[in-house]
Amino acid sequence: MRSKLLWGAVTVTLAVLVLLPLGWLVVKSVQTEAGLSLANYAAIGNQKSFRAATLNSLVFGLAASLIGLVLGAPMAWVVSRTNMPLRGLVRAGVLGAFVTPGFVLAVAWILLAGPNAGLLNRLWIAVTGASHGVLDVYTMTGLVLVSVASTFPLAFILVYNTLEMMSSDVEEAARVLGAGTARVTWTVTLPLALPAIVASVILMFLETIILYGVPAMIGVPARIYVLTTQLFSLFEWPPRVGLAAALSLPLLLVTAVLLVIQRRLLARRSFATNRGKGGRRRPIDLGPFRWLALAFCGVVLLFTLVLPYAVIVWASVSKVWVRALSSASFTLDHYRFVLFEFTSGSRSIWNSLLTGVIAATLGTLIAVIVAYLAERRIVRHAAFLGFLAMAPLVIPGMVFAVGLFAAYSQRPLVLYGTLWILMLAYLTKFLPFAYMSCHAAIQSVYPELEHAANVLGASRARALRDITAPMIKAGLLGGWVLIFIPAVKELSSSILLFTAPTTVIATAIIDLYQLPSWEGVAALSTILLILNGVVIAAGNRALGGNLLGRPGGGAA
Amino acid sequence: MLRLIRQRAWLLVALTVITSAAGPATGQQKAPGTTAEEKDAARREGQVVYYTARTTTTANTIAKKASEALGIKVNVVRLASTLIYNRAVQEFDAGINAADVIDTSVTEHFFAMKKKGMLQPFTPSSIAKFAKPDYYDAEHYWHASQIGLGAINYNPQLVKDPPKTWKELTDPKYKDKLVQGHVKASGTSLLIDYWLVKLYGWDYFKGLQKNNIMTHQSCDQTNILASGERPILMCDHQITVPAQGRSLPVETVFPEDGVIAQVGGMAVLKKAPHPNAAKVLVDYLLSAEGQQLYVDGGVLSALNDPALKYPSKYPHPSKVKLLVADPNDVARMLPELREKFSELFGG
Repeated sequence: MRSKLLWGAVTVTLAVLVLLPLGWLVVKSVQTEAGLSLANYAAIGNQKSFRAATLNSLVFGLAASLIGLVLGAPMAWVVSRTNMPLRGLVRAGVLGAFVTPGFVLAVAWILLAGPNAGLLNRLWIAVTGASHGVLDVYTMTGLVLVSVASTFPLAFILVYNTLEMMSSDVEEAARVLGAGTARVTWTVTLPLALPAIVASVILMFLETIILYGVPAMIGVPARIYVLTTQLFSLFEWPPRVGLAAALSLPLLLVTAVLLVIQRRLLARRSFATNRGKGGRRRPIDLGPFRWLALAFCGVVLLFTLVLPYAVIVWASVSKVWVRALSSASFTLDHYRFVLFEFTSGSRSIWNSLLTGVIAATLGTLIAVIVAYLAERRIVRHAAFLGFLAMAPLVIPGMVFAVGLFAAYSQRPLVLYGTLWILMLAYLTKFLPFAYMSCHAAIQSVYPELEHAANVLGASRARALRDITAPMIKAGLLGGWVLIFIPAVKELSSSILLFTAPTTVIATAIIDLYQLPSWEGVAALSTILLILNGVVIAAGNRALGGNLLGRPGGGAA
Repeated sequence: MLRLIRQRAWLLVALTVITSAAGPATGQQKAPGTTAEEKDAARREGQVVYYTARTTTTANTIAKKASEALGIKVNVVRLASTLIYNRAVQEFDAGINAADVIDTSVTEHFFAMKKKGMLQPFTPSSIAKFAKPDYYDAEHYWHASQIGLGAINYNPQLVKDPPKTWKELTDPKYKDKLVQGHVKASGTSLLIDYWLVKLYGWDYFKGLQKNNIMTHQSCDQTNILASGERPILMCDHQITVPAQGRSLPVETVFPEDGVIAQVGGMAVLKKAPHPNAAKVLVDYLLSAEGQQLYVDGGVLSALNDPALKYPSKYPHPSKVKLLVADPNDVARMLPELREKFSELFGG
C-alpha cells in the first residue's frame, strides 16, 4: 500500500517535472492568434535566417564532434592501454576541461586569440615583427575549436570507460594466437570500442548544437548564427514563445532519435564489457613513441585547459587587462568588485549555490527512490518511472527552458521570476545523471540483505535506511555531484529563465561580459572554477577517485 | 543588469501600440512639486524603492546623494531597461507592489505603462525648465530623466585623426577598424541605424559591410575598443565616461551629421508602497541638482537649465545637432531594419 502511494507520488512528480513543460511546448507551438494552426512551423520554415542557422548548426556540430573524436579517443587509448608517462595527470586534466563551462573557454580564447588584440597574436607580432597576428577566434574555425575544448572530454570519457571495462580475454586470445600489438588494437580493440566511439560522436554533436555561450560570444561577431543564438533572439522583447517552441520541437526530435541510436550502440557494448574489468592487463609498451603520445596529450591540454585557465586567472588579477602586457600589475579589485559592488555578483553566487544544492539534493532523492522502485520491481510499471527519469536526457537545455517558461509564466503557477524555475530546470535536466549513478549503486546491493532485515522485523523503510542507504552512499554522492556541477555552470537554460534578482553565476558572467568588464568576467569565472574544483575534489575523495570516471558520468 | 537586454529595450516599440489619446482627467490641478504634507509623509515612510536602468556608477551615486539630500533611504534595484520594465509589469499583473519609482532608457515603456494604468501623475517642480514638450507626458504621467547621446566612440591611441561624421565611416580607410551593435539586440544601435538609413539609405550599410565592420549583440564594446581589437565604435557617449574612469583610452566624437537622442523616462508607479517618498525622489532627480548626477554620467538633461555643468572638453550637448526620432516612425521601420540589417550582418 505504502509502496503504491510512493509510486503514485513519484510518478506525479516526474510527470509534472518532465511532461508538463514538454506539453506546454507543443501547445505553444500550435497556438496562434488565429487559433490552432501550424503557422509557427511555417514561419520557421520560411525564414531564411532560421534555415541558415540550421545549416550552420549542422556544420558546427559535425566539425566539432569529429575533431573532438580525433583528440579524445586516441588520448583515451593511450591513457587506458599504454605505458605513456603521466597518464593519471592527463586523465585529471581532461576531467578538468570537462567541468569547465564553454563560455569561460570562449572568453579565454577571445583574450588569447582576438585577431588584433589577442595575447597570442600580440606575442606573435612582438616576436616575429609581423604586421598582424595569425589567429582569429572570430571565425567558424575559432567557433569549432573553442567548442571542441569543452566537448572532446566526452569522447575521452566514453572511450576510456569502454576500454577499461572491456574484458581482456578477447585481446589476450588474439595475442596468444600471435597477433602483434598493432594488429590486436586494430582488429580487436577498435571494433569492440566502435559503438562507444560512434556514441561519443553523437553525444558531442548534441552537446555542441545546444551550446549557447560560445556561439553568442564568438559566433555572433563572426556573423555565424546557429540555432541557439536564433532561439535566444526569439526571447528578445517581445518574446515570441510560439516561434521558439516551433523551432525547439524539431531540435528535440533530432536529439531523441540520435540518442536512441546512441543507446542502441552502447547496449551492444555489453557483450564486450562482460561484467567489469577482466583482470589487469599489461600496458602496451610504446617505446620512444610514448613521448610523442605525451606530447600530443600535452598540446591538447595546453590549448583546452592550461592556456585558458592561465589567461583567465591573469586577467582577473590585472588592473586593466588591455594594458596587462605593457605594464604588469596585480590587484584583487575585480574580486572585490564582483563580490561586493556588482549588484548581481554575490547574489549570483548565492543563487547558484542555493539552486544547485536544492536541485542536487531533491534530484538525488527522486533518483534514488525511482531507481529503487525500478530495480527492486516493488511496483508494477516501475520501468516506466525509469524511462521518465531518463527522458530529460533528450531535451536540450534551452528547449526545456522554453517549455518551462511556457508552463510557469502564467497563472495559476507563476514561477518565472523566482529561483524555483531555475531549480526545476537544473533538477529535471540533470536528473538522468543522478538516476544512472543511483541505479548502478542499487544494482550492486544484494536484495538478500534487505530481505534479511525484513525477516528480522525491520520495515522496508527501515531496511532501506539502515542497510541499503549506507551501502549506496557513493552512488548517492556521485549522483549529487553529477547534478550540482552541471547545474552551477548551466547557461543555455538559465539565460532564458533568469531575472535580475534570480541571476546565477553563468548569467552574471554574461552580464559582466556585456557590461563590459573582461576583468570582472575573469574574476567571477575564477570563483566558479574554484567552486567546481572544491566540490569535485571533495566528491572524488569521498568516492575514492572514481568520480566522473564511471560509465554513467559519460553523458554529463 | 544585462546590457544585452537594456539595449533590446527599444524593441518594445514593436509591441506597443502607441496611443496619444488623452486619458481621463486627473482630478484637481495641483501646483508642481511636493507639498509640505507630502514631504512629511515621505519622511514617515522613510524609504523608497527605485527601479533604475542607469549605469552602476550613476545609480550608486544617485542612491547616496538622494538619501543624503532627502533623509529617505533610497533602495536601488538596478537592471537593464527591459528587465526593469518586464519586472514592473509582472509585479503589477501579479498584484505585487514592490517598486515606487521606475527610470528606464526607453520612452515606449512609459507609453505602455500609462496605457496599462500602472502610473500615477506627478508634476515635478522643474516642469517649466523642460526644453521641449516632447520630453514629458502632457498629463504628467512621466517625464524624461535623460537623453542618451548616440555617437562615435574611438580609441585615441590608435586613431589620431578620428572621423567627424557618421558618413565617412564608409571610407575604405576605416576598413577593419569598425565595430557596432546589432539592431535586434541593442536599442542604441536600432536608433542609430534608423537615422543612418533615413539619412543615407541602405547603401551606407553596404559600405560598412565592405569595411568589414564587426557586429556584436550589445553596442557597448569598450573592451574591443580599448584593447585595440577595433578602434572605432558606433555607440553612445555614455560608455566613454565610465571607461575614462577606469583610465581606458576611449573618446567620443559627436558626429556633425547628427547625434542620436535616446530619450529615457521616469515615473511614479500607481501602487507605489511609498507614494510620498516616490514623489519626493522624482522631484529631486528631475531638479537641476539631481539631473547633474545624470549629466556627469555622460547624457544630456531634458532640462534647459544653466545651472547644469557639462564637461567642457566636449561640445555643449545642446549645441550638437540632436536627432530625436518619432517613436511611431521607428516602430513602422522596425521590420525593415531588422530584416535588412540581418541580411547584411547576420542574425
